[in-house]
Amino acid sequence: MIAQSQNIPCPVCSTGIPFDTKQLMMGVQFACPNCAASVGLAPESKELVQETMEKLEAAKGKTSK
Amino acid sequence: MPKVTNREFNPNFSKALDIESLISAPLVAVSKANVVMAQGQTRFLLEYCFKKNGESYEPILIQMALTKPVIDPGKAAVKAVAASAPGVMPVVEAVEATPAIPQSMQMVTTHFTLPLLTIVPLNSLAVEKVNIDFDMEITSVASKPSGSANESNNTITDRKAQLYGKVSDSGSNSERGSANQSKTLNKIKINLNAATLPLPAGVLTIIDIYTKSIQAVPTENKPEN
Repeated sequence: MIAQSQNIPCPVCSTGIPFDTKQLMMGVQFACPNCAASVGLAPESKELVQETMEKLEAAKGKTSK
Repeated sequence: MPKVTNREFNPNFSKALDIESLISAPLVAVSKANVVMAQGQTRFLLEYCFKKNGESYEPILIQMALTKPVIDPGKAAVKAVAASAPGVMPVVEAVEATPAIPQSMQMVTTHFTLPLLTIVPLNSLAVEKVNIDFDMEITSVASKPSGSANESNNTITDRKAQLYGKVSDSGSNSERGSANQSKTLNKIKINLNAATLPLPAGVLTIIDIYTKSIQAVPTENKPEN
């Protein structure tokens, strides 16, 4: 399920593209609801995003304790 | 390193407080918890989504791939024109023509950069909703004059009721049985529902600025093997 709160503007038509970061890391491409463009994470940035998400989860764990 | 021992949580229920303090105490605690979380978010943003460059912070950028269909208009057939002398109208002969390239649609991938903080789900660090439910046992009722000093000169002075109470220990009351049933009449059931904003306006503005600045920048496509 895609979290509707997160979206990025389409670089072609500026319509908001809803996306989920975890699915983005898995290589899923998210299509613009207005035009036929689709946006995905480039493979070279996957590791960086994955590391950041792990750190975010760790920070959430620290805060909840 | 100091040794930390687990201590049992023994709240002092016997102390009576005014109703405002009893209600506001858990809300203040939630607010403080949100401040701690906001500080954690800011620290996280500066540490992992920005890199320090001298005195300023620069956002860490990630590569995104944009795939969109592009229609290739193709080429119409062109007839060969025979060369002629200058000033003389050329004579078109239908002898040779380049073959027409039909219209086609291709998927073109373009790369663009995006600040990392725009895809990190930061709002999940905030307290979303608070439900506080407790019984308040009223210990005393007082009244105090309300309004400013000028208003107190009036003959009719408004007096504001002030309730004092303590958090009711409902478990022990039920054990007492019917002997103290009259005490239950002095109880108020307090149910608080509080929700917080997803993110502070400042953080939202920063994210909004970076999100709006998305511009597709074509990069060199590496030849596929």
